[in-house]
Amino acid sequence: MNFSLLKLEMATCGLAMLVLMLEAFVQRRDRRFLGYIGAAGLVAILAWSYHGGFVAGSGFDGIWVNDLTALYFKRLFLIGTALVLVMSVGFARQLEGGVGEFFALLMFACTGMMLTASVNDFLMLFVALETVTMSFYILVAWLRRQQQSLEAGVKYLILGALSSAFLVYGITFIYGTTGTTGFAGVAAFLKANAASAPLKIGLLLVLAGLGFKIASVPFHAWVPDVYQGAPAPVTAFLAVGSKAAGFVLLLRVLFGALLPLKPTWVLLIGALAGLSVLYGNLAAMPQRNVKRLLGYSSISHAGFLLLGVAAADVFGVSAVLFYLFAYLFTNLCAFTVISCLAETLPDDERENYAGLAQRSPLLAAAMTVALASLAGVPPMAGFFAKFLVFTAIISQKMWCLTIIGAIGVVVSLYYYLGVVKAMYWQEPRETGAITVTRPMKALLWVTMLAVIGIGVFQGSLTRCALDAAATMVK
Amino acid sequence: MHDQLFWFFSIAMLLSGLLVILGRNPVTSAMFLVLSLFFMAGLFVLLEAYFLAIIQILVYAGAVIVLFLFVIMLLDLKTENVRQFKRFGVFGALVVAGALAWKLTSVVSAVLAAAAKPVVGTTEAMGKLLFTQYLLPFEVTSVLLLIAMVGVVVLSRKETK
Repeated sequence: MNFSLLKLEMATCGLAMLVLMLEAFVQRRDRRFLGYIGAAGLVAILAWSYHGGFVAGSGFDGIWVNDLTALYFKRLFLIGTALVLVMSVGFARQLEGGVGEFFALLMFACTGMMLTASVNDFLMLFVALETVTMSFYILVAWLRRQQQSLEAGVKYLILGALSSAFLVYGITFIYGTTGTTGFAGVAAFLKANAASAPLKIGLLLVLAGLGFKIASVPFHAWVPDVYQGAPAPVTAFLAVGSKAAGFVLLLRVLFGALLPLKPTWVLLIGALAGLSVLYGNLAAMPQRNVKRLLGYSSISHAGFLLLGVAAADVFGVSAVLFYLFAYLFTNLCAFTVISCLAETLPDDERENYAGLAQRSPLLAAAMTVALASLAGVPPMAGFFAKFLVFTAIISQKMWCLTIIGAIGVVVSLYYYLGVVKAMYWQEPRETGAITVTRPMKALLWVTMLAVIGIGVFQGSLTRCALDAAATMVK
Repeated sequence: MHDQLFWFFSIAMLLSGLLVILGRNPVTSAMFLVLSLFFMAGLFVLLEAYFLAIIQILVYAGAVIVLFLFVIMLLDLKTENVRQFKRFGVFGALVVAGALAWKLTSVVSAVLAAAAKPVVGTTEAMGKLLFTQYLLPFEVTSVLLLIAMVGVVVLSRKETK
């Protein structure tokens, strides 16, 4: 029992409990600042991870592994959660009642995500994933006076519970045939024996459960409604955090437990990737609600990420890792704009974004940067991420997937640029400048610069991603 | 004797499970769920997992279902109306259910051939596993419960201005 392996997670969890307790002692109007305390704490933990907070190695009878991949994802989750916390402070006026609990739940979800990064056992996978999902059930339904948020909460709860049921059912089959829940044990069993039917169906069910979390076709039914109904910071967190947690688990399962079955799952993941890219992009075209559009875009990005997984080599996995970081800043930039506008605009319909450039040049510019990055326009981070994914699948000679991916990119330009067109070339419905609060302004600049910065200076992040991928793909 | 009991418990469990989803009255459904859980506890006993069998009855049949009944009572649900099914939905559900059933038949025949290693499910053995090999997931579950608790309080409290 080497608890020093858990230092970062324990610190994050402790921070969440601290904020939860402080909430009781702080005046109602000062509670927003708990968000800053949380964000500062997470940044401190991030700094600690560079100086002794992270202990490499594995422990707890092999169910826990701290390697470079785990570290990469833990840092991603810490950065993402800190930014979402700042965004929530800017959004706090619209969150009813206890904002302290809101911040605490964001950090509890972050703890769960950091746990997923080190999972090496199916039982631990389930518990870590439920920690993340349980927090999101609550966060999605937070605006319980609004019908949309409540509807989103109920839909997410029911479909999430269903997908968890699939996951557990799959795990029972795996345990029943192999007699172990550890990834290493399953891999050893698969190496020694041919995969029997119960084991295969177990693994299929586990992949279905994970497919729900990463929002890939055909497990995507919840995405549009939940993305539209949830509070904007929660949607952002769902898009960057929950998806990344799903992907790290998928990578751990595929490259840890299922490595001997690689030829089979490459086909499976390839099919899911192609379907997600096509469906996400085509279904996004007629959307008029910007949050809903980003929901469909999230499905298509799950597809692009799965393309990298389907390449199934170091370059493919490193492309996925890079992509997730680029996607994090891009999405947070877009959702910060949506959060800022949530107070002024009646809803998130595209018509309301008309002439935004005249009402607030900063918001329009940030949204343009984010959408350009999502579409993959150079020199944004999204361009280089897509470039890496395409390089990986082309080097594997997966021509069919390459063509589907290219179609997806072209189609996506249409609907992303539609929003940009509305912001710059249409007359506003209402005039009057939109004021942006100072924390939101800072957040917009940070994410915008990060999106452009990662796109222009990709070197160091690419190296980190390659090192992390190399520890996973041997 | 062992085999007959197994078949009795399984068939009875499946039948009461079916009645849970076929019933239109929520209270009847909940009662059949209790019955189904009882039979499942019987299966655990056959597997010599005595601790799980008792937990199954105490926690699920005892506490969880009572909670269900309370909620049903407080919500004052009426007998559910007969739902309108969409044709495409029914078709899709049948296809998926058929495919799953087809795959599962091959699974069941294979499982019967494979022998799982015997485990003794006493309280002591369970406790040892939870506090040694599976200590970490066990501890994380406490965080999970805390989250659920916070969520219930937050989502159900009265609005204060």
